[in-house]
Amino acid sequence: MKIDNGTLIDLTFLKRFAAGNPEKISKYINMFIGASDDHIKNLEESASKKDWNSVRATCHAIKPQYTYMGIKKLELLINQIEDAANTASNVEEIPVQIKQLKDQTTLAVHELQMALNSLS
Amino acid sequence: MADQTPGNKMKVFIVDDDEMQTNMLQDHLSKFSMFDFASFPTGEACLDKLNDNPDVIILDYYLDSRDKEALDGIDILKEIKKQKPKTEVIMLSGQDKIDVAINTMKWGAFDYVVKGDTAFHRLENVIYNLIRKRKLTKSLSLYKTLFVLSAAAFTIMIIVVIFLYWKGMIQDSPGWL
Repeated sequence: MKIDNGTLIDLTFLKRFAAGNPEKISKYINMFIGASDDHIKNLEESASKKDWNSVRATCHAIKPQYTYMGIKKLELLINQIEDAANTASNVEEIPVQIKQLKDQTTLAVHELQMALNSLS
Repeated sequence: MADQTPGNKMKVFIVDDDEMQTNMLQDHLSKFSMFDFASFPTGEACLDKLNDNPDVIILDYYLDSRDKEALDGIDILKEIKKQKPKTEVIMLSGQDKIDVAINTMKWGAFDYVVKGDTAFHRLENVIYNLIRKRKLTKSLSLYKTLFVLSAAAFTIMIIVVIFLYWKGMIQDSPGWL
């Protein structure tokens, strides 16, 4: 089985974790894809209400999922948003960063869908 | 903690508001076929089932991503330790701050594992250490019991000898000094 890594995703960990089992790999990719829209919507809504604690909580919860999909670049961005929300500092940057996260996540999801296609 | 025999599996509760994390943990630990799992999205749901007497609880530190009012891991840890002091709790968190880890250990957590791609093997090792600790504690308790019984038997023997000596029943026995 060959899955190409994209520019954002790196499925090395997931493949190792699932011992190369395509069903398991697909299951986790689908879970990520299925939840990512809601997570981004939550972040946007919370930021628009200036509910920084909620932004912090969502960032904290989604961070490992990005790690497992090998999306290291966005892990750093999520950390920055989480830190800003946690300390309520540079909060004016948060909506911009969430927009970046949304755009990059859309690309990552596209790459993950391509990986799914190569699995089936 | 239950012995890890096929008929007597170790009961593990996973408390995490992240469904993917819970699934992955369960998948990873299922390889060892010695665990029975139950998972809960909040600490409150886990507390409701504490009377099922879990051996181990893997508890996320932050549990408020779905329910904003949900208690955090520290509060749940304190409640678990209050109600079931023998249940071991392993904290799992995205927080890699040392003071957070120390705080959870202060409140009785067995260990603290940071979420990420190394967390699964780390948890496996922590559970292995936990099983080993429980086995050692069991052995120690057995040796303590044996020591107490031996000491009691020796004391009774001395009392019997003193009694017999006092009654003048053993001075003429062969071998008596």
